[in-house]
Amino acid sequence: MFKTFEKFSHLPPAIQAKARTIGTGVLLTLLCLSHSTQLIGQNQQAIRAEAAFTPPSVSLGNNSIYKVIIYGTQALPTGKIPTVAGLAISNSPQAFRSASLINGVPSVKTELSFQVRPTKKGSFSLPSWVIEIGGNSVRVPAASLQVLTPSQQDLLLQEKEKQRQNDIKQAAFVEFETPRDFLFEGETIPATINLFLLNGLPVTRLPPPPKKIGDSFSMTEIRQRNIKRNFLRNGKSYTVFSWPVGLTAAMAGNQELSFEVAIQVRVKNNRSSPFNDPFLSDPFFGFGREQALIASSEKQTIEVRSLPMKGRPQDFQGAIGSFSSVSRLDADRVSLGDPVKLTVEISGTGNFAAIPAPGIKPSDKLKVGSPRFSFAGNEITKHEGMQSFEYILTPLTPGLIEVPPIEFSFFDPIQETFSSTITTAHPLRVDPGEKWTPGSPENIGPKNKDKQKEASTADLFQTESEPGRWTKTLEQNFLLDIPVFWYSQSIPLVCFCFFVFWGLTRRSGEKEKLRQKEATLTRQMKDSVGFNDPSSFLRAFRDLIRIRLASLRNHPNPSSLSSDELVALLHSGDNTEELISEIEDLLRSCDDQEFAGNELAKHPLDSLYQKGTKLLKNLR
Amino acid sequence: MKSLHSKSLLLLLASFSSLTAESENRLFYDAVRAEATGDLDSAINSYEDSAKIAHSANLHGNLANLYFKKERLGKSVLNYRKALVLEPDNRDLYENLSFAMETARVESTGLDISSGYFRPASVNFWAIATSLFFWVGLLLVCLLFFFQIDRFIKLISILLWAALSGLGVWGVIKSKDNHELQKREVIAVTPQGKKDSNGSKTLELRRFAGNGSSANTTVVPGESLFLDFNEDGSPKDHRSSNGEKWYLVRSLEGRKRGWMKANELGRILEPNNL
Repeated sequence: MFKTFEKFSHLPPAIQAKARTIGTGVLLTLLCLSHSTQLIGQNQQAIRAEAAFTPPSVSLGNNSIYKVIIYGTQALPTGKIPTVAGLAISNSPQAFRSASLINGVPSVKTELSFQVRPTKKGSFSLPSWVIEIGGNSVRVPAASLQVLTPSQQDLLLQEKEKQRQNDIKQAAFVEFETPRDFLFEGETIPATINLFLLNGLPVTRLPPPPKKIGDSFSMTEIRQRNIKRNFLRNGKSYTVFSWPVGLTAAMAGNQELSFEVAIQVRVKNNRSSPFNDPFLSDPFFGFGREQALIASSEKQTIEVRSLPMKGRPQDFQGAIGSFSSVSRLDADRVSLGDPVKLTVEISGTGNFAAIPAPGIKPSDKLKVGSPRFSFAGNEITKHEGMQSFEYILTPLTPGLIEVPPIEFSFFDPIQETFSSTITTAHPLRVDPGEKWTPGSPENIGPKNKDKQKEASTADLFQTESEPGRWTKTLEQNFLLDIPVFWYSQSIPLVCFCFFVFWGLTRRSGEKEKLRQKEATLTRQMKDSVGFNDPSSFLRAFRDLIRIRLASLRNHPNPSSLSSDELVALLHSGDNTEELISEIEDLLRSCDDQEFAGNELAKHPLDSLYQKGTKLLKNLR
Repeated sequence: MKSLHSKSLLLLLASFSSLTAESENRLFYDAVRAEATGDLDSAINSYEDSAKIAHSANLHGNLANLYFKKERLGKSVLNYRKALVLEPDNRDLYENLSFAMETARVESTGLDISSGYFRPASVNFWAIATSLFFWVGLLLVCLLFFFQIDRFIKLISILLWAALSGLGVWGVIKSKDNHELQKREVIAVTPQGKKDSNGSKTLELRRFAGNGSSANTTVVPGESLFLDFNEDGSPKDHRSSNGEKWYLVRSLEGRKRGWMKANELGRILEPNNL
């Protein structure tokens, strides 16, 4: 290599030294490049995977970690981990990426850690499985885990954990009471939800109302909370929070129901000893951290029976309970058109929240408005009390009319039969009221009084029991004041412009066609002179006359014009008699030529051409 | 975040509008119930409270009925007119108004509300009709022009189109004029606590805005009058030394003219109270 530099020996020494320095630099650069290329080659190592359980053997009740290490990539793989009976493997692995230099060689890897909880003892093998990384398939080798019988220490720890769970359960739990073992679909029963909190449990705030678990029941809003202190249960002292509610069964069948509530308790900050009971002591006197503790009730299975179909009255609308009904009318005498209030009261126990208003039979004597509901009684459970329905009745005819009795059917869940209660009928005397002559908009005012008296009479002043359509203002909204109306006018304007453009284009196209046709016919006339073809000459001349005249007189169909019609059109314009007679002669010759043959052969065609051109020029 | 804000605002507006709708309904039903129990004063108060929130033809019709029963014919006529603004085609309301005006012995009918085709409510009808006449006619005329139809037919068509469009424009202008007139229209009413049955009570139109001024002429409660407006579009008014507000009013034909107190007048279109 140094021989290369000897080639420059004829150069001055300073230049030779510079050349040597440059050469050494180039050599070093080449060496570096070659080393980098080697490194890149090593970086593109094959992707491979390893798998193992850590630790490889555990006792039953302890967890292991199934770790998959993928070398040569930091991309996240995809794949489906195989399931093994006896091992519960988590679906959400923790991923850890790392890069390092090993003996000067860069290395990248990705670690996936799956939590594994054995559910029985024995030897388990997780079979080999395939993962996809950036379009490549990589096989993960099989791994095995030995699950041993729990040791004495493990058993003690499990026992302690069980005891702890039991203690926590005894420290805070929910119970609920229902008056009956079964209920009917749609029936409402009063129930009480009790939350027991062991005295000494460091609760940081008052517990919220428990949540219902189970969609088969609906529950009234929880409002009132009762507190009972120092309640003894199993030799322990509790504070009991109670919430009365109304429970309504929504679906038939054996339905599960439970309640749970999250309470905030203070626990010790030290988390290193998880099996120390953090809840039942408060060693830091309020300086610990808050944690939610879920207190729940046992799941209760409640039988919900369907309502029997046998004996179900036609007007039954879903009322379940034990009810009685009364009704009263506010007045027994009114004028025609004046409204009167009918109040129907249904009292007893049952599903008041679900009771619809009893229907009043329609009649042509009474107009019935929609009722107003009001409930008086236990507002919390809505199970016991009195439901009032106020109807506004408007009499439509004068005389003595009867407000009909109202029947209300319900299902008695205790007797397990359908029953009905009926209100009494009320007589109502309706006076005829005011009479007047119906006017029309045209005869409003005293000047038309006499005319009105001649017309028939009708009853005046009917009170409307419904408000009708509400408007915020009496002022009308005018279309003319709305910009959208004016903007919408642009649509027909655009249509109009398009239409005009299309029409003009069409018209200019027709004119162009006509002009071309005229040019063709003129050429035909000229050519027929050359060929001495009088027949073609005359045909072209007549067509030219037709086109010119149709264009001048705005005739829609020029080809339909006969010779006589052409002459008539000539007369209607500003043409001289001489011109008309000459054109008439030529048109007649044309007809003769067409029907009688070679009559025009005796005339020289060139003189006819000049004459015809002149006539066409002077045509008006 | 912005969309969250706008959603919350919309939710707030929707809940507010539903709340107000509930309150006007509640007041209406309260009024009907009060009327059913014979408590007409409470019914009137509830209807009036409801009318402060929103309007409906049935509300003003019921209110007019009650005022008629309470022999306050001016207020009755005023509320029938309001109901007719909302439902101009309601024959029952026309008939009741006719009877109330007859009972009140109202001489002047004020604005010609019977002029069906050009009444204030017809502005939109005429606007749409004019737009249709104009554009459809224009397109048809173009069609005739381009398809070389006979000149006479063309002429007739253009004249017909122009006439229909002109009629439409005239309809818009005339009904808009009537609406402008209705905006100025007031009904003479007796102040709170006084009955005005049988036309025995009349209201004075005074020469000057003051109780001491002599009367030019008189009107009966229920009679239509029209406010005089300033150039800026506000009614001509005057506040007297004792704090009473007076308005300059005149009859439609202008024969009666004078000052009346604000509590003796009820405006058909809003603002409700002068």
